[in-house]
Amino acid sequence: MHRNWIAATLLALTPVVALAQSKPADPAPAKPPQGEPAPKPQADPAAPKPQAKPDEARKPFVVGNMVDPSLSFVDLEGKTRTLKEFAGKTILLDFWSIECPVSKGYEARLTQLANDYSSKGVVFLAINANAGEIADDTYAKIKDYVKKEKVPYTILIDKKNVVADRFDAQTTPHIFVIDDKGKLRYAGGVDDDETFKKDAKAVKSFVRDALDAVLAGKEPPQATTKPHGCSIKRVGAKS
Amino acid sequence: MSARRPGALIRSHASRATAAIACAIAAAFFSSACGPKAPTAAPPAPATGGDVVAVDFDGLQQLLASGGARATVVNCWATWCAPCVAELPDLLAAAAPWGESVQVVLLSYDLMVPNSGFDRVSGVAHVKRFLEERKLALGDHVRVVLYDDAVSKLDDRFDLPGPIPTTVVLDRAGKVVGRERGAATRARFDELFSASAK
Repeated sequence: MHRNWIAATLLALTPVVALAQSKPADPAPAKPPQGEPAPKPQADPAAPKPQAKPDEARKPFVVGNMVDPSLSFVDLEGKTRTLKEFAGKTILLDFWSIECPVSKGYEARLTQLANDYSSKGVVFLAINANAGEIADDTYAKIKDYVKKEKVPYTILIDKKNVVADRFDAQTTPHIFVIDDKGKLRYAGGVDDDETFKKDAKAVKSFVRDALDAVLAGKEPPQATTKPHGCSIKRVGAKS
Repeated sequence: MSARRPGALIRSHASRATAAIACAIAAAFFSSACGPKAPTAAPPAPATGGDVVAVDFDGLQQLLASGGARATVVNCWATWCAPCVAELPDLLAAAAPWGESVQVVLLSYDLMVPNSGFDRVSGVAHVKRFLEERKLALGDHVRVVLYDDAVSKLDDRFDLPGPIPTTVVLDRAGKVVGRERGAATRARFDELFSASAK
C-alpha cells in the first residue's frame, strides 16, 4: 500500500517535471528566426470587433469634432449631470474659477453674454475643474461665490478633470462652444481685451462672434484663439 | 488709475546703472519719464536687487535690445499664478551660474487682468513687495518687467501658447531658440540656459 502511494505520487509529479524540463534554459529570442516569419494570429470570427482604442476615447477634442455627450459632471448639489441633458442646444462651456483673478474679472462680461444669449437658446455652463476649489464636496465656497456674484449660469464640477482633459482646457477662463448638433465649433478666449481697458466698441469678442455665427448656421470667423488666464490645477498635480 | 503713456517706464528701485538703462529706454519715448516729476524711487530692496518696471510692447522690445549682445531667457509669470511662483526659485538657481552672460526677464502678467485695480505704479509696487516677501534673490542680470499691452502682441512675437508659466529662450539676435510651455523643473531650466549659449 505504501509503495503504491509512492508510485502514485511519482506518477502525479511526472508531468510537472516534464514541463519544467521543457522550459528552455535561455530565454527565447525576441525576434523570430530569419526565414521563418511568425505566424499571424488567426482572426476569430466569433470574437467581438475591436472597439475604438482607449487612447482615442481620451484624445482631446479639436474644433470640428463631435463632443461626447456622455461626458458627466456633478452639480453643486452633488447630482450627476451629462451633456446629453442639453442635446439639441448650443452650449457654451466656460472653464471657470472662483479664485483666479482673470476668471473672476471676466465674470461681468460672461454674465452679460449669458444674459444676451440665453434668450437665443444658448446654454451657459461654467465648469470648475480646479483641484483646490472642488476638493470640498459641499462646494460651500463655490455656492457662496455664486450667490454673492449672482452668477446666472449653471455651475458644474469636473471632479476628476475628465472633461477638462477631453477639451484640453488650459486656463480659466477657457471657452468652448458646441453647436446644436453636438459639434465643437469654437475654443479659446473670451475677447481681445484682457485688461478691460479698451473702449467697448473696440473690443473684439471672439465668443460673441462665434455664438452669432453658430446660431446663424455659419462658421465662426475665428474657430480657435489662444486662451489666457490662470492655469487649471489638475487633480493630483503637485503644484 | 494713473495716466498710461505708451513706452513709459515706471521705476520702482534700481541701482544707478540699471536706472540709467531704464531712463535711456524711456528717453527714447518720453524724455520726462525719469525727470523730476517721475515717481520717487523707493528705497533699494536687497531681497530683489533687480529692476521692477512696467512697459508696453514697444518698451519691452527696447528693454530686450538694451541687454546688448546677450541671449535672453524670458519667463512669463504672475503673482496670481501658483505654478509660476513655484518655479521661480528653480529658474533663479539655474540662472545664477550664467551671471551676466544671459539676460533674464521675468515678464509679469499682473497687469493682464480685467479690472486688476492696479495701474503701472501700484502694479510695480505689488510685484516688488511680492518678491521681497518671498526673499527671492534676483541679481543684477534679472529684470522684472510688468507687461502692459495687448497680450496678443506677446503671443505673436514669441509664439506663446497663451497660458502661463511659459519660458522662451532668445538668442543674441532675438530669435526664439528654446521654450518650455508650462512649469519647468530645475533640470529643464538648466537645459534652457544651455540652449541660450548655443
